[in-house]
Amino acid sequence: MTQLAPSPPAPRLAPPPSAPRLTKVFRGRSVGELVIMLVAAALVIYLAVVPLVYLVIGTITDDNGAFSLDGFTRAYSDGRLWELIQNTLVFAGGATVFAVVCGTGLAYAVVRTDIPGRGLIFVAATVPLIIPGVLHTISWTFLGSPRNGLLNSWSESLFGIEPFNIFSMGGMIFVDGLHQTPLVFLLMYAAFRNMDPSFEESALMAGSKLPTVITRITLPLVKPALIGVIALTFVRAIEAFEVPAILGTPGGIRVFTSGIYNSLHLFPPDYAAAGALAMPVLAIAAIAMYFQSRLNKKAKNFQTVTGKGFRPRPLPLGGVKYALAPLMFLFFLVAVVFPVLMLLYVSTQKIYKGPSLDSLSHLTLSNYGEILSDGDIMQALRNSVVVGLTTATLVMLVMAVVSWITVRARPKGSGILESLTFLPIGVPSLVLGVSLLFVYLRVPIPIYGTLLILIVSYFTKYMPYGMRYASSAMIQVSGELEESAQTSGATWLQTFRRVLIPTILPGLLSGWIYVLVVSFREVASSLLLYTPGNEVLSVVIWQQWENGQLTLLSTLGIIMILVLCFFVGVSRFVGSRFGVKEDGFSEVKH
Amino acid sequence: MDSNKLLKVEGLYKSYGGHQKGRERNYAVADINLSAASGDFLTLLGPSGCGKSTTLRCIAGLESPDLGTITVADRVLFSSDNGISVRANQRGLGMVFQSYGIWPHMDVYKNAAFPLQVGEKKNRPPAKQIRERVERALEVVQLSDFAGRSATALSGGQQQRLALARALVMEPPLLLLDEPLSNLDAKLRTDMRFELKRLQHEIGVTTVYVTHDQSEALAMSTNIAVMSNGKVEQVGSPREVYGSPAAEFVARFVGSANLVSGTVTSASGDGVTVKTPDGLITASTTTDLAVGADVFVSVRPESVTLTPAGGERGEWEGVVDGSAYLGMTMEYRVKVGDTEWNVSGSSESPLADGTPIRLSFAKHGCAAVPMAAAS
Repeated sequence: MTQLAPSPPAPRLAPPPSAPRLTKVFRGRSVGELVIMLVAAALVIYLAVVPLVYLVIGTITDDNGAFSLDGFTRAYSDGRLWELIQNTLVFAGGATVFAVVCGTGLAYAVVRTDIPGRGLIFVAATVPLIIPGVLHTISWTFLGSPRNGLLNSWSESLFGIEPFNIFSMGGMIFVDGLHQTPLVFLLMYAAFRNMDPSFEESALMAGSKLPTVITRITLPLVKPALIGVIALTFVRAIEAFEVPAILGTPGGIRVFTSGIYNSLHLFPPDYAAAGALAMPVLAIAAIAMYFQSRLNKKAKNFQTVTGKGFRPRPLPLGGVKYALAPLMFLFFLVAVVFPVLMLLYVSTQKIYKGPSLDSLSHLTLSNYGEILSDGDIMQALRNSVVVGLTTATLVMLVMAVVSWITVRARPKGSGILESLTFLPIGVPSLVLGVSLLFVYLRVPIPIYGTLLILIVSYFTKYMPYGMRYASSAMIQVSGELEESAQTSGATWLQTFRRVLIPTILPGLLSGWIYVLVVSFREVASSLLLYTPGNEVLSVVIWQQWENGQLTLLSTLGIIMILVLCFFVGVSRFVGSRFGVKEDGFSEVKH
Repeated sequence: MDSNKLLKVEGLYKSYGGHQKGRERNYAVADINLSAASGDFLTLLGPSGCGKSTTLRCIAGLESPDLGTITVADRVLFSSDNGISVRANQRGLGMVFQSYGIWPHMDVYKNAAFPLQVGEKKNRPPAKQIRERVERALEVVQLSDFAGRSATALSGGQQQRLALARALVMEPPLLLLDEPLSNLDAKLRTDMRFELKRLQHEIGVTTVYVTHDQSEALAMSTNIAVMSNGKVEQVGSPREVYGSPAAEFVARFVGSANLVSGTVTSASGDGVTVKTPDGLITASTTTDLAVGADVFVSVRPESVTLTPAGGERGEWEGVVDGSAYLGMTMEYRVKVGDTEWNVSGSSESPLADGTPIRLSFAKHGCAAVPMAAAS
C-alpha cells in the first residue's frame, strides 16, 4: 500500500447505547456441563487444601484441641535443628546436581548428537523409572555396604582397599541422584526435542565450535526448562524418604523426612512433633516452587517451542564420541544392570551372602515358591493392583475435566484452580500421609482402615503429574476440533466423550501409565496410612527390610518389577493401537 | 432492515476480557449491522484483528455478544433485549474452520456423519437416512471414494472438502466459513475458490465467508462487507467496493490503490475535479461532495496510463523508480513529486528505470472519498 496520504489515527469505538449487560447465566453453558465442572473443581480444592489445613491445626494443638506449641519443643529441643537443615540442604542439593548433570547430558547426547548406542541410553535412562526406589536403594546396600558390599569385596581382592560406604552422605546423594536422573532425562529430552535446531545450526554456520554452541546457544535457550527441572528435582530430593531412611539412619545422618518418620514410629506416635518437622520441608518446597514460577514467567518472552514438527539433525561429535560412549555404557551398568542383577542374585539364595563360586553353584528358586504361596503377600499384590489401577484411572479422568476448565473454558478463577492442582507437588508424600492421618482420624469419614485412604493419598500426590499430561495434550489439540463438534450440534458431554477424550487419548494414556507406576512404588505415605490387612506391596517390602528378610525381599522385588514391566508393556501395546498416530495429530495442531 | 432477509445481524457489540470500572470498554466489534438474502454469498473482508472472525463466531454461537440481535430464517438466535441466547449446538448452522477441525480419530465417513448422530435423540434421523445423506454430502464434495479412509490420510484440500461436507450434511440454513482457504497453497487456493463458488451456487445455501484476502472476496461474493477496527466500513457488491470505495480504508485495503489528498474544485453529477499538489484529477464519487471539501482520491494501479514525457516536470509528470516483471503485466514504482505510485502497465514494451513519464487517469478508476468519512 502506498502511503500518499497520512493515515488517520485509529478511531475510538463509540460506546453502545446503555443496555443491561447479559448475565453470565446466558453464556451458553448447559446445566450438566456446569455440574461436572463444579464437581471436578470442588474435588481438587478439597484434596489439595483440606489436608494442609488439618496439618497446621494438628501441629499447633494438643490432644485436647487447645493451642500448644509443644510439638515444636519436642521436635527441636535436642538442638539439632541446624544439623537437620544442613543435612537436608546438602543432600537435596547434591542429588539435584548429580541428577541434573547426568540427565541433561544424557538427553542432549540422545537427541542432538551422533553418539553410538543412543537406543541403549534411552533404555538406561528410563528403565529406572520402573524400579521402585525402595528396591533400588536396598539393592545398593548389597553393592556398597562397607565390608560385605559386593563392590567393596571386589575392590578388596583386587587392590586391597574397601573404598565404598553407601551409608554416608555421599552414598545418599549418589543413590538418590540415580533415582532422579530418569525424570530429568525425560523432561530435558522433551525440551531438546522441541527446540528448533536452526538456532544451533545458524550458530554453527556463523563459525562457532560445538562447545561454544552448547554454552552460548543451547543452554540459554533451554534455561526455562532447565530451571523448572532443577526446582522439581530439588523439591523431590527434599521429600525423598527411602534413601535417607535406609541409607542415612544407620549412619546417624538425619534429614527432615527421616525425622518425621521417627517421630511417628515412637509409641505413642507424636503427631504434633511430626507436623512441626514437616513445616520447614513445606516452606523450603514452597520457596523453590515460587522461585521457579517467578523465573518461568520472565522466561515466557523467548519461546523456543514453535509447534512445528522438527527432524533434528544430530550434531557430529567427531572423535570425542568414542571417548564418551563408554561413559554412557558405564552409566547403564550402574543405573540398571548392577542393581537388578544383584536383586536377582539375592533372590536365588537361601541366606544372604556375597556372590562367590560356592553361592553361585547353589542357586534356588524356592524363594519364589514361598512368596507365591503366601496368602498375605498375594493379597498385598492384589491391593497394589487395585489401588494403582483405580488411582490412575480416576486421576486422568478428573484431570481431563480440570485441564479442560483451565485450558479451554477459562472461567474466572481458573488460574487459582490450576495452581491448586499443582500444590501437592510441594507436599512430601510423608507429610501428606501425616496430614491425611490428621484429617481422617478427626473427621467422621470412615476411610481410615480401608484401601480408600491410600487412593486418596495417591490421587492427591499424583494429581499434578496427571494434570501436566492432560493439559499439555489439550494445548496441542486445536480448539476448533471441539468447536466443530459444537456447531455440529453435539452437546457438551457428547463433545467431551466423542471428540475431546479421543483426541487427547495418547496424552491421557501416557499419564495413566505414569500414575500407575508411581502409585505402585509409593512407600512413604503408604507406610503411615496402611492398616493390617490392607498392606500394599511396597509396605510388605519395607517390613521385610526391617525384619532382615533380605532374600524374600529381593524375590518379591523381582516379582514387583515384572508386574510393572507387564503393565507398561500392555499399555504401550494398547497405546500403539489406539490412534496414537503422532503424525496424524500434527496436521490438526495449530 | 429488509424483513425477507435470511440472516440479520443488528446492533452487534462484543467486548473481550475484564472490564475495569471507569475505563472505556474495548470493543472487538461495535454496532455491526449486516444482512444476507437467501442464496447470498456475503463476505466479511478485513485485516486481522478487524473483528470479522468475532462477528462470524457470534453468529455461530461460539462467542456471546454483549448487545444486539442475530436472526437466521426468522429464528432469533441471539437477542440481548429479550435475553435470548441459543447455544451453538442448537443453532443448526454449518461451519468450516480455518484449520478444518477434522477429527483425527474418525474416518472420513464418521466425520461427515457426526452431526447427524449427536444432539438430542428425537432429532436424529434414522440410520438409513443418515447413510444416504452422508453419501450425498461426500459425493457433492467428491470424496465418495474416500469414505473409509482415515481422516488424517487426506491432503489439505481433501480435509477442506470433508469439513465442507460435514457442515453441509445437516442441510443448514446458513453456512459459515472462517478463512477456509488460508491454509492451502497458492495453486490449490485458486482451485478451491472456484470449487467453493460452484458448490455454493449449486446447493444454494446462504453463506457468510470470512477472509483477509481481497481477491478471494472479489471473486466469490455477491456482497462484501469491508471491516476495520471492529466496524463495517462499507457493504456492497464486489464491483461497488472495488470501483467506488466509500471510505479511505476501503480504498486502501481493497486493491493496492494509490491515495492522494486534495480539495474539490468543482462538482458535477457523479464526478468531481480535485486539486492535488501534483495536479488536477477527475474522479467519480458515491457521496455528495461540496466544492472546497477535503478528499482522498483513490487511483487503481491499472487505471493509470504511463507515456514517455520530455525532461521537464509539469503536471502529473514523474520518473520510473523501479519495475517488476509479473508475466502478463509490469508493475512500476513511479515517483511523482514526493510520493511513490503503484502503476501496472503492459509488459510488451516495458519502460526502463529512470524514464521520465507522464501519468493520465481513467475516470472510472479514480474515486473520491471524503476525508471526514475516512474514520
